[in-house]
Amino acid sequence: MLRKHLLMDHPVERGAEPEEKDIAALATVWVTSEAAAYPIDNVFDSYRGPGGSRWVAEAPGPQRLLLAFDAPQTLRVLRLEVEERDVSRTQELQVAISRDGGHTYQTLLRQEYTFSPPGTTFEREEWAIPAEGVTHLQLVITPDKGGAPCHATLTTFALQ
Amino acid sequence: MFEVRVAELETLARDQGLDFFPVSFEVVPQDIMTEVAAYGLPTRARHWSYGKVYQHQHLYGTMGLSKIYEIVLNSDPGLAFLLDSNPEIANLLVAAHVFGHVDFFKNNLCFADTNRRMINDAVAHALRIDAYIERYGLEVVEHLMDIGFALDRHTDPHKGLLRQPYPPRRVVEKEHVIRPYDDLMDTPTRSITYAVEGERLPPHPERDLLWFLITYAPLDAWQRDVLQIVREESYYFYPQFNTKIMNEGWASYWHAELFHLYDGVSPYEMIEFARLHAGVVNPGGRYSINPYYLGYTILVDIEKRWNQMHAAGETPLTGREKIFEVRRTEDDLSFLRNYLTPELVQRLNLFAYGSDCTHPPGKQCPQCQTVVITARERDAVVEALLAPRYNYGVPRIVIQEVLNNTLCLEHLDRTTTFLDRSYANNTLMYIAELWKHPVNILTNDEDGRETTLTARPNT
Repeated sequence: MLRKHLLMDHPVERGAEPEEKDIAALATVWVTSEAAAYPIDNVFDSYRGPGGSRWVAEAPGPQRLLLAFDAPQTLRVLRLEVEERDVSRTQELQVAISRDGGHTYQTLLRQEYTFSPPGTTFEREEWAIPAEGVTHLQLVITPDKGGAPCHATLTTFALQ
Repeated sequence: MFEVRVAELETLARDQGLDFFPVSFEVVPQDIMTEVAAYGLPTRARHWSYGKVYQHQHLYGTMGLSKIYEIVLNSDPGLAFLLDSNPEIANLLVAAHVFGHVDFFKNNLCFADTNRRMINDAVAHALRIDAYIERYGLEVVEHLMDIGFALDRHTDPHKGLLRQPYPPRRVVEKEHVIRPYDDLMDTPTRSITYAVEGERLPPHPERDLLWFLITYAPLDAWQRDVLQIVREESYYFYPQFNTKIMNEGWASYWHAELFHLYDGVSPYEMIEFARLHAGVVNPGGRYSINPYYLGYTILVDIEKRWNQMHAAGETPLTGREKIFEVRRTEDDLSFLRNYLTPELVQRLNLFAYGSDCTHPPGKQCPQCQTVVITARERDAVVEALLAPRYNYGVPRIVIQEVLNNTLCLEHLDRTTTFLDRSYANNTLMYIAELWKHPVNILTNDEDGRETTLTARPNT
């Protein structure tokens, strides 16, 4: 059972999972919004790849996903997938971790990815993020750097 | 009559110390001239972009906004094109100018390793490309050439055109031999260590993106050949880009000098020559400087200063000897840095201009739209003149590593230059298409923070 809360403004958030870590067992997931038909639970399930189940933010604009670990974790790899079949947009992802209970965050990476359907519709990343003693992991998604009112979405978010 | 006068100018040029390949002149109509200018070579593999350049130049020519007087190619023998509608005095000026260029091609060190048979090789390239077009279709081949042209300025002139693949993986035994004073430094007198070489791909940051992809991307033989053709032709043109100011200055200096010495023109022709020469070495627009003018003025200044120093016994070189030395050893970067003096900067009223915003280069603010004079100091002016001339005019980007099949690039100038996202993303897509795996580039975002742009090959 995934423990989750909806964030009312734009605070912090993250998540965890499979062969990989069982995020549902290890962390509480916070997310800024979720559309009723596309809950955040979908990013931690096993339906991956193009056409997989996904989370979609209820509101357009930047969103945050925060994983608050029950106990400090050692992380090695972050896998994520994003699918965008409808809109051309340049998405920015920022991954940050906290080792002090969420008081301060260290940005591990920032990435821009341009979707241009029907050509480029799917992003799959496997990032090495070697880190120990991680108490929180945060993913900030800016769905379109150009400022268009796009909805953030994620198909998969997994940690190893 | 024209041929005789060209021969006289040639003799005069050689008497003055110019040392050039034999030059073949072809007098051609405007459309041929525009065609050669658009292609860069008389015969070259077809590509839609040459047609675009042709239309652009044709339109400008028709509107009277530009006129191509001459085209000269770096080859042995030299090949130059003259315009059939030019008056004879104009073509004589151009011929004298061409002798300067061919002397520069032959003697400047930047051109030492260039392919002097490129005119013929480009014909062979065109035939091979035609064969590929017949076999794979125009769109497929032109698309591959698009990819090549997007990357062909990311070269490594120090490593050169002909390169071998990196050494394969091997364990190397390294013996530390005894050196004097080892005992004092507590260094073991003899030891053997083992190092693994060739494990990392590339073993060093790789600047020649096209060479890397040709060598290591999973491509068909014909695709490698097309990309290699693009790469070879890019290397051929690189020294011309790198010496534009010097080369044009040298050729302008010599057409002026030869006509100063030549007595085979009438007074009327001499006046016409003076008018044409003034046009060639005009200072340029208000916010740009004519490379012919800049190069010519600096060379004249060098000659004058060295003549004065020679007369004062301060240097063994005369002014003429000095400019021949400069012609042999400098490129535009060193030429401006070494010889554009503060006095010249002041006399030519040179200045650097732009926005004086201090935020990261990708950020835009209302003040960015305000163009101001940012500097009149010599060093700042030199750097402003040279900024577009570094690294073949493209951002410095290297391949750092291959990580789980992902090709990782790095934008080295990311704190001072911003990658236009449209160009960057399209170019990354091109690379991913060849590499057939994801491609990353580390650069900075609008706020000056490090960010990674990623592209994946379309499935």
